[in-house]
Amino acid sequence: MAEMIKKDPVLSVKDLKVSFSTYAGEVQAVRGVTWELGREETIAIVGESGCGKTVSIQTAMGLLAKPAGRIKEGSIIFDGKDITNYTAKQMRWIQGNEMTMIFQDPLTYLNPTMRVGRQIAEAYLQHHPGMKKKDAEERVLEFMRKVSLPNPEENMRRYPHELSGGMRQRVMVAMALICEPKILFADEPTTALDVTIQAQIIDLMKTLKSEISGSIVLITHDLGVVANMAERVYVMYAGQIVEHGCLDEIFENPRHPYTIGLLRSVPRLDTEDKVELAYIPGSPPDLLAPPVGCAFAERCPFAMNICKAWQPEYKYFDETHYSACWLNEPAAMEKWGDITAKGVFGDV
Amino acid sequence: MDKNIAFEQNAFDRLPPDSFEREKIARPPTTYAQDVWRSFKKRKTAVLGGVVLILLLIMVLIGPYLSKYDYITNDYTAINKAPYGDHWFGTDTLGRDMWVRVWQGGRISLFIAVVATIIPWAFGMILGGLCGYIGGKLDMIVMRCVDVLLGIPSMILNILLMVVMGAGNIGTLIIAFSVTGWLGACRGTRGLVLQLKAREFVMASQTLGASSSRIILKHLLPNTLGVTVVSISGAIPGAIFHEAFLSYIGLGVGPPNPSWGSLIKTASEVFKEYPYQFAFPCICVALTMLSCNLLGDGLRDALDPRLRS
Amino acid sequence: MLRYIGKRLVLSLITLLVLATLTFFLVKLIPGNPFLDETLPPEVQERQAEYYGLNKPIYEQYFVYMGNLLKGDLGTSLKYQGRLVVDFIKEFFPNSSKLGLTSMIFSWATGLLAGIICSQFKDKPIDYILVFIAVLGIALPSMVVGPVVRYTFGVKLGWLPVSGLGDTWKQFVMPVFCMGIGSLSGLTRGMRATMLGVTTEDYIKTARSKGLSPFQVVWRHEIRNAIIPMITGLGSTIAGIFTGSFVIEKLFVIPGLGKHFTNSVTALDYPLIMGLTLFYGAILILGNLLVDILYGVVDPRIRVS
Repeated sequence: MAEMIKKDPVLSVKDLKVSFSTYAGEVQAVRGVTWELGREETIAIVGESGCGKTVSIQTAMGLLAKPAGRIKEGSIIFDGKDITNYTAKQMRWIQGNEMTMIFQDPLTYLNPTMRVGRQIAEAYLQHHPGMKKKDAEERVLEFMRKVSLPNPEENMRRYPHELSGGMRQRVMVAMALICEPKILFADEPTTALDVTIQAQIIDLMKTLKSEISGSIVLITHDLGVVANMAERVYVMYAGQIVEHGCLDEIFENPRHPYTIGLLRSVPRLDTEDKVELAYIPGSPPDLLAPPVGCAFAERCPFAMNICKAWQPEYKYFDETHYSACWLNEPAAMEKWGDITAKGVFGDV
Repeated sequence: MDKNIAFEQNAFDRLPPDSFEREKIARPPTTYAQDVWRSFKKRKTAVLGGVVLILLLIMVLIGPYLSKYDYITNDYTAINKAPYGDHWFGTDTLGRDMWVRVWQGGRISLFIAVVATIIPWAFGMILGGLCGYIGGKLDMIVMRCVDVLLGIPSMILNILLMVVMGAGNIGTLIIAFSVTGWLGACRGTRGLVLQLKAREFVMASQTLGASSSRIILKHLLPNTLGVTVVSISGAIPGAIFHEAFLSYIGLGVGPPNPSWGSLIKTASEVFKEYPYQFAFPCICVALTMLSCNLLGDGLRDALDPRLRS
Repeated sequence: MLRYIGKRLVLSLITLLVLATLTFFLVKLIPGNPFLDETLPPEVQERQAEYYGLNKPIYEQYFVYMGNLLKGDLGTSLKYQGRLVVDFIKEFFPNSSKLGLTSMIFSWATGLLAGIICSQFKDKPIDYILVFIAVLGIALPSMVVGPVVRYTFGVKLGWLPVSGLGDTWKQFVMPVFCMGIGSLSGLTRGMRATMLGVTTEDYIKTARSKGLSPFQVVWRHEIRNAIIPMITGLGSTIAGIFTGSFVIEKLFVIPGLGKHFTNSVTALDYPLIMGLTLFYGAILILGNLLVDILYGVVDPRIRVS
């Protein structure tokens, strides 16, 4: 699986820390995350809502809500250029052109009073100044066909509320791909859709990704979508990455209690034994004052004294597979056995 | 890894089960009213509006008694005098004391504004609430009527009623305002009740077999109260303005009774010569409208939890 | 869209009918015969009574009255003997409407612009200043602002003419300002609030993710969506301008309908009051109808429902 880490990543985020200043104090939304995206690769960032996954991609794309949110530390390297300190104006050339985003709810994320054709064309016209209106329209029609929107000539003059949910999400996909971006960020792209349409949208994104040779960063808490699309998975918790691995490493051999918890809370049809659906008790910590030790300790059924006092460091199981958990420490293994290795269906 | 940790004793023992509980800072539970009050206090302009309004109310109540004059008696020896001696606000064209007339006028203006807002609002709310709650034929008939009547500009209807009933009377003013005032309240409350009826907590309580009166008292009333308070705080300055306007065009409170509107009207005719006669009632009207608006804004923000930051 | 317009049209017509009927029966409640001038010789009174059907049973009178309305006959003035109410409208309404339209354009253009500026500089000094002015503007009715402005800029400083209309554009400045200031202030605050609301909408995030400049985001995506809810307020602007005109036209001695309306109230010229009230009511109902249609044009979501 080692070949999956690309030598020349299109985007690499190093030790990124992002904070928001609120009336109550400084919320440390992202607390030192490092991740990479290879060319023509699909990665997934999974975690509960509020774990910082959306903030970290918004930061990468330069869409952080300023001045409340700011990068405290770390760097973002896109295509060999350090874009960490790019001005808003410099970022605008990248936004919508080389990096684009698909959002969760296609209805609220489309302008209700603008025809969809114009909304799709907007980014293209923005990044191709001097483009003739006729040519832009051709391009819009081409992409509407690519995303299998029926009657593109007719539908481009419609308003979002006149389209069905699936069609709206196809509009979003067309909008995000019209400039053939290098990176497509997909923030919960299927959450608001019907199950039957989810699969269509996933297929669509996969096909189009290879067609335009782009990369995808998928953000979701739906592990089914992850299994369907992603090659590598980053598991985020409380503003940190707690585990990373290739798809089968994460699904077959999770090494962090949080990942195990996430996997156990997914209903499965493919096993004979009836496994009780588990949930993770408690709620994520308050990032106004994040805990000193492991952030997951409070909800972890295996928490030890050390977990409360010190943050665990990454331990590598494979070239790609690492996790931050004290249970994987030899001393802990000696005492309690290899807990995490029991994986998804082990006893708790 | 830090070697010190690895060799610390008991480092890898299980945490005692309640080790996180003790650190939780217990936030005392606050009631909705406390919450509203706290966020209201934070808006300085709203508090200022409230204070000014209370001061005006006090002055309107006790002001006339502070002077030895009354508001009707003419004094031809002291006509159009600028503020002097016992005439703190001066005198008007008939030699009446302006101080007493301004506060007496305020009494009448505020009385009309408050009564002509509360009565139709209460009526409209009850009717609208019933329409929303019961629905069916009643709802359809009432709402059709409201649709049509709301189409008639309220000022036009007010003028018509005042012409017909005869101007100069406080009672007729209140009736005229009431005839038009309940419509908005009725439609608004109905919409609100319909919205609430569809909300989960009301449905849940219905499924659990709560009686109608319980649903109305426990769920619908408290949830409509906030919106109502805000709407009323917006309707009162509107009524003050309408009263002033009607008095100005000669359809409001008639002589010898003063109201802020009629005082402004009379004074604006001699504005060039005796600006002070104009200034005092104007300042009062402006202050009242200003404070009502500020107070209303503050209440709206405080009562709507989503607007709190 | 056609169904929507049709429904609104029917509702407006019913409202007009109700207003006319209401006016008729309310006037019947006035003691005596308010439509007849008692100082006239009895035979003239009788002729008038016959013309307006005042000696017939009440339901017949109603039909005569409605028939007259349909013919465009709003009655005859008492004070200006023999003058038709319609003639008053023909003569004086053009002045009022010129003034009213100018005030409306002034208050909308300035109010929306000020609201947009406030929203873009939220919590900055310019925002505070404009909001403060707007709050004052709402608190000061036209009968307070009017005399002060007229005295200061017209009488004392002598910069602007204090009366008349139509000779020079300068005559428009003060009346338009005084009539517009109220709705201007309301619009400023309203537009500020809706703009700030729209800024947090999800589709604005989409627009920003396309690499649009802040100006493009505001211009293409925010303003249109923020104006839509404001359009419902257009009806009350029109009503506000009319009530303003009653005060302002009298104050600035403008030969408009508002001034005559105020005078007719003082003179208890019932036919004129009723006729003009009905006319104003009709204009406002018509205005509301236009606002509703405009709303449907601007908001594509209305067209289907």
